[in-house]
Order: sequence, then C-alpha cells, then structure tokens
Amino acid sequence: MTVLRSASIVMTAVLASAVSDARAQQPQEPPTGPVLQWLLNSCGVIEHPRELVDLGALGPRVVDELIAAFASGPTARMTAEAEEAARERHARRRALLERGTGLGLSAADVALASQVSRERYVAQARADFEHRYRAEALRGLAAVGGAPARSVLTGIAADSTSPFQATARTSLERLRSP
Amino acid sequence: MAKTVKQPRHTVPYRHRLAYRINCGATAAALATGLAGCGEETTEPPPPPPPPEVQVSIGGPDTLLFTSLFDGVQLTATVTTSDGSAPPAVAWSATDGRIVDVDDTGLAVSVGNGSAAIVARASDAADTITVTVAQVAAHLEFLGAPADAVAGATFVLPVRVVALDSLLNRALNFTESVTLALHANPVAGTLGGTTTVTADSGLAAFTDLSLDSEGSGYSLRAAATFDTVTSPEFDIVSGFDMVRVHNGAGSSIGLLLDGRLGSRFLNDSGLVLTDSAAPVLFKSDSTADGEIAAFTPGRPPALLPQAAWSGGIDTVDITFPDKIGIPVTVWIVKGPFGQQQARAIDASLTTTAVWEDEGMGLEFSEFEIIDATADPDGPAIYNVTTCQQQSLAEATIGKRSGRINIYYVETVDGGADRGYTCVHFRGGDIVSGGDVIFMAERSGHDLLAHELGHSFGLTHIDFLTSTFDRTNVMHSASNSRRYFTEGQVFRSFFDSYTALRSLYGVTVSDTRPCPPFAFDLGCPSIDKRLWTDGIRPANWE
Repeated sequence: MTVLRSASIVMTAVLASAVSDARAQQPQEPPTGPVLQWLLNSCGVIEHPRELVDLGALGPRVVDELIAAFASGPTARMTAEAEEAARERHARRRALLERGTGLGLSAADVALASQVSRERYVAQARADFEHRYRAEALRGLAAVGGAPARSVLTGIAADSTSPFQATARTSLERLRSP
Repeated sequence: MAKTVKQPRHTVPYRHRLAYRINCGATAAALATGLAGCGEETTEPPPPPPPPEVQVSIGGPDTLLFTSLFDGVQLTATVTTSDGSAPPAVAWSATDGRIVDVDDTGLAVSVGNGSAAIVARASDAADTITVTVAQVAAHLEFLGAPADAVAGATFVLPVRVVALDSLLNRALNFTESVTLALHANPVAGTLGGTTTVTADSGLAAFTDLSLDSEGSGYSLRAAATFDTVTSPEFDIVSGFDMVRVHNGAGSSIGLLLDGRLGSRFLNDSGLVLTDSAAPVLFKSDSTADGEIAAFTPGRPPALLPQAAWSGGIDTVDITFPDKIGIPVTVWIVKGPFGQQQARAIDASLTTTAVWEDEGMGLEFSEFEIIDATADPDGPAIYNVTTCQQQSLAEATIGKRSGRINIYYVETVDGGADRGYTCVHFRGGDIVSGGDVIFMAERSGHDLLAHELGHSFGLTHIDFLTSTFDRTNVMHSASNSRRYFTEGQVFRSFFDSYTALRSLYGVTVSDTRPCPPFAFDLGCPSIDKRLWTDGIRPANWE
C-alpha cells in the first residue's frame, strides 16, 4: 500500500485527472478476458499467434479499463489468492531451507534466505503482485496507444519519485502513434 | 394462483385534515388571530394520490415437477397496476438454491432433489410456485469397461453401474437393486460373487466378482426395473504382467503404458502405484508398442522404449535415474544487489520445490549469484526488449558456458514484472531450449520455474484452458504456478530439443520430436496427468 499511496501523491495533474475520470467510470466488475490475461501475463515468450492479445482491437473502453486497473490495482480476491500462493510457497521454502541440501545455494545465501519470516515473505509477494499488476496496465496503455494513454504515461514518466517511472518510460517508447 | 399483496390504505395525513377543518369548520373564529385569511377559499394542494395497487402472477400451473437435474423451464410473470401505470420490474428468487436455481429472466433450473419455492416479486407484491425435483432413473450405464481380471480371483477393480435420469445425470435418489449376469460368455465361464447390489446414491458397486475361466470377449449385462445395459468386452487371463520399479524416491509411482491386450491397443494407459512392484492389470502380447514411462516425486522420469512383453505373464524392470544436478549463474545487473539477490534466491527455492514435487528430479547443483551492478555496461541492458540484446549481455556482462545464465535487469519486454527466455523457433515450434533468461526486477518467485520450462522446450498452455488453469507452471499469466503434468515432464526430458539434453548433456534412452500439445509421435498428450494438479483431476483412466 505504500507504493499505492506514494504513486498517488506524486501524480501529475494530468494523470490525477485521468485516473479520477477512470475511477468514476470504473466498471464494477474486475477485468476479464483479454484485459485480465494482459494484466496477469508475465512472460514475453510468444510461441503461438493465439497468445497475442491485441488490446488495441478492443476499442477505446480498454483505455478506461487499464487506467482503472492502474489506479485501483488488483481486486481483493486476486490479492488474497496471491497471498495464499505465497504462504504455500513459504512453507515449502522453509522445509527446503531446513533440509539445506540439494539447493545449490552458498551457505551465506541459505542463511540470508532463512532470515525471511513468513509475514515478510507474504507481504513482499503481495507488494510485488500489486506493482506488477499496475505496471502491466501501463504496458497495456502503450499497446493501445492514443492521446489519453500518452497523457497518462507522460505524467508518470516525468515523475522521478514514481515506482512506475521506468515502466512508463519504456511504455512511452513503445507507444503506438496517436 | 395470482395473489395480491395490498398496499396499506393511504389516508390523508393528520396535518392536512387539521387544515381542512380550520378552513371550513366552526372553530375557525377561535383561532382567527393566528390564521390570517381564514374563511377564504383554501389553496391547500390536494393530497397525493395513493400508489397504485400491484399484482404479480406467475404464468402456468401452481406447481412445477422436474424429473431430471439441470432441466430448465422458462417462467413468465405478469405484473399489472391498478391505475394502468408502468409496472415495476420483476425480481426472481428461489427459497433453496440447492434445489432450484432461477436467473434474472425467470429461467428455472433443477439442481438437486427436494422441494422449494420460486418467488416473483414486484414492489411489495409477490407470487410463488412450488417446485419439486425428484429424479426418475431412466438409464443404466457401466462406469467404464470392466477391467481385465485373473481367472478364479476376485476382480481387482470393482464393476460399477450407475443409474441416470433422462438427461443423463446420475440419479442421486436411486436406491433400488441392480443385478448383473454374464452376457457374452465365450468359454462357458461362471460368474461368482454378489451379483445383486442395492444402489447407493445411484451407484451400484460390485466389489467381489470373479470369473472362473480364462477367455477373451466376456461381457456383463446389468438390469434394473427400468433398463438393461451391456458392458464393453473384457478378458479373463491367467495372470497380470508386472512392472517392478527400482531407485524410486517416493511412495507414489506413476506409469504410462503402451501395449496390446488381445485386439485392443493400449496407448498411455496409466496407473499409480504405491509399491515398487505392482500388477499393471493387463497382459500384453506384443513387444511392438510396449513403452513404459515412469514418474515419481524426487526423481527424473524413466523411459523404457520397448518393454519385453511376451505372450505370457511378464515382469518388466524399470529404473529411475538419480536426481540430476544442473548449474546456473545469475547476474544481478540492476541493483540494489541485496534486494535482487534475495529475489533470485527466492526464485531458486520455488523452482527447486516444483522440480522435486512434480517428478522433474532436477536440482541446482550450483546457483551462483554474481554482483554485476557496478558493471559500466550494465545500463545498456537495464531494459531488455528482445533477445537481440542477448549477445550484448553475454559480451558485456559475462556468460558462463555450459549452463543457463540468468540476468536480473530492470524491465523485460517493457514490464518490471516480466521474464523472457531466449528460445529458438522454427515454424512456430521451439527447436532449441535457450540458455539465456532475462528477469525483471519485480518478477514473481514462481516465474523462474516457468522460464526454465521454456529452456526445457515447453510452451505456454494458455489457450488450452479447458484442461489447464493458472496453477500450471507454463501458464503465461499467473502468480501461483506450481504444477507440471506428466505430459510436460515427459517432454522436458525426452523431447529432442530440451536444454537438458543440448546444454546439460542429460542422456536418456530415447528421444522424439514431441508435438507441443497433442499426443503423437510416441509422446503423451500435454495434459496427461497421473496425479491431480490443483483443481484438475488425473486423467489417465
């Protein structure tokens, strides 16, 4: 949530306006179909044409959905699922660290990993997920293109305190021409 | 059946009545000083008209009877108002959603045996009908073919017969008896055991059957009061072939078997064993297609391309390889180093867990982490967009040969969460598992196992959603990757292009160019599961 707050505070006027509009227009239902697939996707390998998500073909409403996704982050249910998966991973991780063999890690790395509590691990996983979800929304804006998308991305890219600055800059470079 | 709930009778509010009396009654003089204009014609507005009376009526009879589950009836409701104004909308509901479900349009669907009511409500008016769901058994069906059995011995697998309603749902309220008898009897065998069984929740299980004579092409006939049905054919044999497993690490062993049984071809028939030696429930008579693939947690899969089946009763041995150690090197290009080091360690531990649990039998023999954050060439690959930057990374940051190299950068493909494995394609298919992986600074702990899956020749399974969910390691859009199918494990080791062979020199007894998804060319289907994966059931029967 620290990330969310700091991002909100430093938003430029343009971004704040766009996000505010998006909140007003935000659909009650969370994203589904191609937009959700885009927001959760984390691998750049494309082996099959059916994997390509053409957000631009979905029309202008996608911009609103993506801005809303950036502003709101994942739904509570998605976050809860990500936390549950992190808890399961941590339990398995702890068992491996207690065994200590067959990991390939140096003793120092094992010691470092052993210091991570379940709470810290799950909190980090949650923060990462929320960040990833919102960063993918910015990438989506670049894929859709157009003036509203450019305006949002420009605002974030100019903000040196935003944790999304690098993503916004890269997205601007990839932005479709308006 | 229409019912009307009358609104409370609308009366004139007290203050209006008082005003009326003052304006027109004898007491006006006593209050005249405080009520200028008294005695003039009143200008008080008339009271608002009472709201109209609403009536709701569900069309059709007062009761509804379903004799099958998941049967639907479209209900309609007529709403009228006493003053002819626009009627309010109808809201449909059911008093017990375990019996009947009704949607916003009035479509009622039976979902469980019992009684409930459906209510149509408009404003404060409502109408109801009673719904009874009582499945009527209409068909019998064998649950699969009876398994082959040994002459004179109790069948290893019970014969199961299920009663179905007219829409072929299991009749869960059916508790009558079902009787079995021999139908095709090629060698005058005698059926032993309990042949009449009372069904429980629509299922009759015959658990102690036996047949005394070897023969091929037996069948059974099941009969109840409403139907009879004949089973597929099966054989009674003198004994079963056996598979004996060596060097197993876990108590659960899965087998995929090819072979022949009589005239039937068995392809990737599966078994899950809890012992190192177990009957495989068939007696193959051909060595032509006698492949066995074995899987178990903590070991790589084992493959016996040509099991030495004969016409007799055989015991075939298969040995799991030892766990395979593979080294990798991680280059932390974009810092802070400590933060990304911790991320890489977490990713390695998650990968190790998946490999152990899912029968990959791999482990990191070395997970080397190098601090390259001070490298002056680093910024050139902070933001990786394509694998054209692979050579730049290798030349400027460094690369250890003979192993997979992983570069932690800032963004990959424009995202701070993403990963990319530099695989090589030909005609849309992976032809070489890559040895370079880029990971972004916020990549999830479960993503490394996914990218390494690409190195092992595996493809995304996103558009096969009917057989996969987001818990599969090769789903491209997930935060909870955990599972591989046995079809994927098979490809990781035995596909011609896996990096396990090209890079780490893992040798297996046979390789083949597996198609990415279908079963063909001697490979099981990509979704073949010997064990349940997340919410997906095993599918080897």
